[in-house]
Amino acid sequence: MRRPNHHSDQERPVEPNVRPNSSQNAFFTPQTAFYGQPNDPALEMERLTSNPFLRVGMKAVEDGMKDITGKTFNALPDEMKKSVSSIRYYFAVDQAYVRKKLILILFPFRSRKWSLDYSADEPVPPRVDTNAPDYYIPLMSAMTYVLIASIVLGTQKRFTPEQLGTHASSVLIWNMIEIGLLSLIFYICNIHSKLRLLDLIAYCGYKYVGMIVVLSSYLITHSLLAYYCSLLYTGISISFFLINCLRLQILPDTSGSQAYNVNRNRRRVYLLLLVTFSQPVFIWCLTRHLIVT
Amino acid sequence: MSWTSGDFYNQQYIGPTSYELQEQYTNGNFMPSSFQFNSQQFYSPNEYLSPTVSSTLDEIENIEPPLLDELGINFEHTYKKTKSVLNPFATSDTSILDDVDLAGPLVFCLAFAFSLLLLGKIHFGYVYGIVTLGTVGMSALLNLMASPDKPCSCIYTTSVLGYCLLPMVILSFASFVFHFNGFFGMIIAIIFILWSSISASKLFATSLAMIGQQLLVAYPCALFYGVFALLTMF
Repeated sequence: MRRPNHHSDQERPVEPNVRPNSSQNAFFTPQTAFYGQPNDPALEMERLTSNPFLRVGMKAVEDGMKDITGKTFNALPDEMKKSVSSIRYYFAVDQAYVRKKLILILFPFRSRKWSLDYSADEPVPPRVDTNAPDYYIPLMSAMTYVLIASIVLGTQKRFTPEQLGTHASSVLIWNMIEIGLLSLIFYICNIHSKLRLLDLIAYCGYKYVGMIVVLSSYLITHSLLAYYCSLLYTGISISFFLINCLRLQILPDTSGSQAYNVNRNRRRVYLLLLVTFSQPVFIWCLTRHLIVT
Repeated sequence: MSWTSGDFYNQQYIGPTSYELQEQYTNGNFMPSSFQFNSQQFYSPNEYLSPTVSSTLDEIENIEPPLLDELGINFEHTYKKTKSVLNPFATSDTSILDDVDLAGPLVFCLAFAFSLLLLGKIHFGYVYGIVTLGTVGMSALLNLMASPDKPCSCIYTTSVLGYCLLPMVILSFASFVFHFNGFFGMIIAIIFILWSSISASKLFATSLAMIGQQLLVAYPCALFYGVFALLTMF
């Protein structure tokens, strides 16, 4: 603490706020600044309610909080609301749909009808139509893959909790790379199809079901033979499933003129095969580091 | 005051020592005696604490609610909710869940992390991270799956998932005692996971009116609690 110079006595600042029941010009020194003003609740409430700016600000905060604690949805801008509604379509599932879809992914060889149902130009939600894509199954199977991979590592005594994060990030990143590359190829080859980006994300997510089957069979039997057999079977079934699903989306309608765009037709076929056969490759890539020979 | 470096570094301390300061300040004066010239002009604490102000303070003290009410902890509700978790097949009074409280879940999470300490694993950060990510993901999923006129806040999901963590806490304390290993241990863990996820999904499905989706809600809960079982066992 330094003693201030004498000539600054007259220049000491005067506290501007008027305090009730005390002197008019309250003295503001470094000591009061150091020890602080004693809290007077009555004075502070008066300050808050009498200040119009603070009143407006508090009302705005209150309204904002009402939105957050009530329905968060209403506070979002319109574009985000539209995308949330379109994503909500993919989560409109129920138990019967999930059961049928899982059976379809793992054993698609008996199904005859692969086309989507439409009602008034809009695809029908997955609750009603088994062939519609959804996000519940890919999301849950991706998370189950992370869990089962950790269990496999645990049985091999290689598990640390960081592995959970590592596998989850690799799932996310590989998905993003795959979807990004496929959209880029769609764009470069100038292929316009009925397949939307959101649908493509769903279809590319069904391979995690195959990954779970492969890893579970390895976990239960601990044998390489079981791993490779299940990998082969899962690859075949996922490819069959995806070819049938995407055939109607990517390839053009047969009612159009076929000889008109032979090159474009061939490109579409190649693209379809690329999407379909890259799935088993991904299954193999994301599971082979868990297998110990 | 000059700011040349010579003056700045060469100033001596000429104020009162700490003992003198203590003497001056024990009387309730907020200023050392050298500055109390004229109470008209200067701030003085005795004038400030007038009788009317002090009586207002007394009144405010009297109308303060008790501490537990302020914190939102209601032991009876906590006990009822815990009982409804422990017995998922009994129909319970779901209206008690309307007051969401985070005290019970906090206690259960800390108990779980503490039981991991008994096993020699210091995983407090992982438990916190998994609880955060899991509840955020779960509330997002529930908001998307349920109808839009029944929104579900993150805090409600945290509360439900935290209360249903109790069987996992029991599992981790039991694994300290029994050393679950191998196939038998996995079966026990799966039973506890199913117990937790059935209670959680029952609470979610009844409060958010999701018909035909209870198993779909139970599965992500099972994944969430499965991660806790993983932390316990491996």
